[in-house]
Amino acid sequence: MISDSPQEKTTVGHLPETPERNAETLFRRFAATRDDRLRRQLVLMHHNLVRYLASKFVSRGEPLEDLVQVGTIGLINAIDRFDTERGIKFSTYATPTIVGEIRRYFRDKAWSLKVPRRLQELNLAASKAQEALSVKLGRAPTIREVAERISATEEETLEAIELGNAYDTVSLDSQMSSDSDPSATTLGEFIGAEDPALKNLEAYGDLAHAIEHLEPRERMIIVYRFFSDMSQADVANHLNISQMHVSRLQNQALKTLKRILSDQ
Amino acid sequence: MSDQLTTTVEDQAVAQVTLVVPCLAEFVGVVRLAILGVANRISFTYDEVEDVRLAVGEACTHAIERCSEYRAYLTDRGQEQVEVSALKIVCTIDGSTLTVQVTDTIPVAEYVDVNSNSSLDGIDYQKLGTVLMEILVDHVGFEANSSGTTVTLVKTAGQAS
Repeated sequence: MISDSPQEKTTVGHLPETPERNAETLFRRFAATRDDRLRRQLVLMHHNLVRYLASKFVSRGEPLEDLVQVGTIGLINAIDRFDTERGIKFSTYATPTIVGEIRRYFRDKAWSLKVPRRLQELNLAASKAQEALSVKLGRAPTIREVAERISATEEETLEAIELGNAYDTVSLDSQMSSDSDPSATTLGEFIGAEDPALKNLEAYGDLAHAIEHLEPRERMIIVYRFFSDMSQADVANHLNISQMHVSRLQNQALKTLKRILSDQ
Repeated sequence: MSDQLTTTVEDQAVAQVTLVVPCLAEFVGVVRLAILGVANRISFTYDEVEDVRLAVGEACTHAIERCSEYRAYLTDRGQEQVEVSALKIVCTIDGSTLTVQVTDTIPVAEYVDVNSNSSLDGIDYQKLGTVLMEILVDHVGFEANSSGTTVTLVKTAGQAS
């Protein structure tokens, strides 16, 4: 690059290296060479700018690290497009690009679940309508009233209200504490699960029904053996028969039960 | 967003909310909170409300920084310390447009903001604050005279800025 102003010749190397002067030199060299190492150096040099701008957006509920990351993409784009000849400071030039990237991130990505734009807008309208109607009616409005107000069907309205929860998801490991129990419990512990005993209950019903089909003596053996936890010898004593006989009758009864239950 | 869905402002005339707080950093939070309430009267999206809050926060921070610089300037000249000056925030709701004016009481004629270029790491944060405000809202205006500076921020719902 041949420069025509005498000032510029002295720029490189001779003036004290202020951060700004240094950046300007680097930008000129980068513009001429497109050297990847210079680019990296420029990115690192201006990283404070990204952190500063990203920190302005933390209150919107996204981690600073994520915002710095998307902001850095904006910074890189700005570095690639910056033209030193235009005479504006790089930070002034880069700020809209960085902030634009961060805001785009909020617009497109920050909803934890992807929700159609139409529903996002309906959600907003529904919550405004709920508020306005509450004031007007002096009570919480019904879904039908909200739906009428925003000219949507009741189903759409419900969907729109419900999806407000999708903006922000909560970790199952997030800490919950109550006044009575300050020791931390997690949200996950509050989530119900299907009780396996319920399935057993159904099986018990079927079994009770099947047992009724057994011979009285077989039925007694099954009840003693499996519900009263008696040994074959005890059952034999009880029924005044040999243990061998108990064993045979038990096997026979179990076979019958299996057949009845598998037929059902 | 269509007009059909705009529900809160249809039967309202122009409304004004005025807030006066001490020109101190710890009151920026109070202002931001109040702005949230006011901005919610308009059909702003969540992100638009946050944009307004951020811009107003910047305007207040700007005023507070200048206020502390002004106090330091007076001290340097051996002049009497000023009382903590007030920061006045006037919010005007007109249809789906919100105008927020942030006014401080730092006399410009007497004290010119000579330090605005000073920064530790080559970043001019006050200039950036201005750039940030311009990105976040539809219009930014500055008016400075001997009784103070007014920053005017205007944002209309549903307009990409």
